[in-house]
Amino acid sequence: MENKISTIVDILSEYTSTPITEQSFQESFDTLNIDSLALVEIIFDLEEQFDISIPNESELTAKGFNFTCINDIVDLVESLVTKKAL
Amino acid sequence: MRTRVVVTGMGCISAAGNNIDEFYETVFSSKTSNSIAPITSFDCQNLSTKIAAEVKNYQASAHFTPKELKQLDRFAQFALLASQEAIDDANITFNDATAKRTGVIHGTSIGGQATIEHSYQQFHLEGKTRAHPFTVPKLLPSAATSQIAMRYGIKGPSFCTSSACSSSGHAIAMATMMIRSNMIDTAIVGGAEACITQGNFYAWDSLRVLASDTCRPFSADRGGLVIGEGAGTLVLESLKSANQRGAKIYAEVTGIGMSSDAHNIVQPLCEGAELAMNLALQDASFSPDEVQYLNAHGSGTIQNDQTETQAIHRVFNEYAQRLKISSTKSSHGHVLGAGSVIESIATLIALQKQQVPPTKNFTTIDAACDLDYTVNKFINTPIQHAMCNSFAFGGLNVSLIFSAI
Repeated sequence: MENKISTIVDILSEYTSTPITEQSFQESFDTLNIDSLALVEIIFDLEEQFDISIPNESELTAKGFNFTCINDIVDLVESLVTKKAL
Repeated sequence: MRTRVVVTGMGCISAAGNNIDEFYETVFSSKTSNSIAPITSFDCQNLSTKIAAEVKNYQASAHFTPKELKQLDRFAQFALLASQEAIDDANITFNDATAKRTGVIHGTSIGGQATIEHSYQQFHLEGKTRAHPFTVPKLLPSAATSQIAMRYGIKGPSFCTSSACSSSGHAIAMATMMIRSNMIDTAIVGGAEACITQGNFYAWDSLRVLASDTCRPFSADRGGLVIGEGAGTLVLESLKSANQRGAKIYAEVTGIGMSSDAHNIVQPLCEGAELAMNLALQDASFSPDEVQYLNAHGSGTIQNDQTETQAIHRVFNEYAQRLKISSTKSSHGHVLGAGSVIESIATLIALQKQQVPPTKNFTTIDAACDLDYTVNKFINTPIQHAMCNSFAFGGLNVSLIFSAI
């Protein structure tokens, strides 16, 4: 889990000049200056890095996931990676 | 009196050099250059064609950040580099008002070919299930135009022209008309191409028009054309705008002529080429004998060289024998969508230096090509007006006339 979080932070750091702190994990992507285009790239990088397939927004919502802050990313990646391992 | 349009900046990158100075040294020298050489960018073992005019000594990372490169196909990288040189050369900057009176018109024949092939390779061969999100914005033929507009904050009418090997000629012609009509004052015009790729050569091979040794325009032993890559950009502006900012002026765009063969998707037609040249002369109000130099399309295929020669005879009549002609494709290859602007740059340098660049690699006279092609050695000669021809597959023709000012 620690490794995954550190990888996620590394990926996100490429797309924001705002330093990512503990508090950043609950902040909106807007607050972190991550726009929707950067988010599309981040999703691609996460998929490549963890070999997972992240569903589109409506599917995520239907499955009860949010995608508004780093914590959401961590939960989603954890869930998808676990599902893949099963 | 119609608005006069002048060239105030030039930039280019090609196999013949990565900037204007290197381009001049290579193209105007009487020495054989190594710009046409064995392909290095991919394995061409299974292809008949093993040569091309590749840009040399080029590292994308030396010019662009990793973040920028995610959005830039090779053709757009070349377009940005040529445009930077041209805009720096013109010493022009844009404010809120002038940005809206400036357009970017940049052509390409194909666009982001390397991006397309990379994506298909990943999908079909490597079994990947997702492409990078910037795949589509990178491969669009208009991507280079947008990238130039974004970099310099240019907000006037901007678009990409695509007419195969005449693409950048049409860009120059369109921009000239837009400045003449007072729609804009300034235009960043040109073209870019980067399609020296395995998939593209696989396709070109089948047309049986590619040379196996080098490019020998108008020479009886010609083997066909040699595909090149690169980009060229000109800064065009109204004479009034150039004078107001005290800009250095290379030449005036005095004539533009465009025509369509309406004949065949690959074979050229004499009448189409003749019409484009005549319309350019008419637009400039020149008689044929006022033009001293002609930068020919001169692709090095038997069909082009003989048809173009015949068309020159018909347009220039008895004066044709005294007209200095050359094909600089023998130096920089056939840069397709960037060809017309790169050859316009050769034409503009010819006017500036009062030199005719040579048609290199010429060995043997072809009875059907009986004009003065300035073979193998450049010459010094007075040039006041010079024409530049581009004749594309599908019969889309552009002739431009530039004049010393």
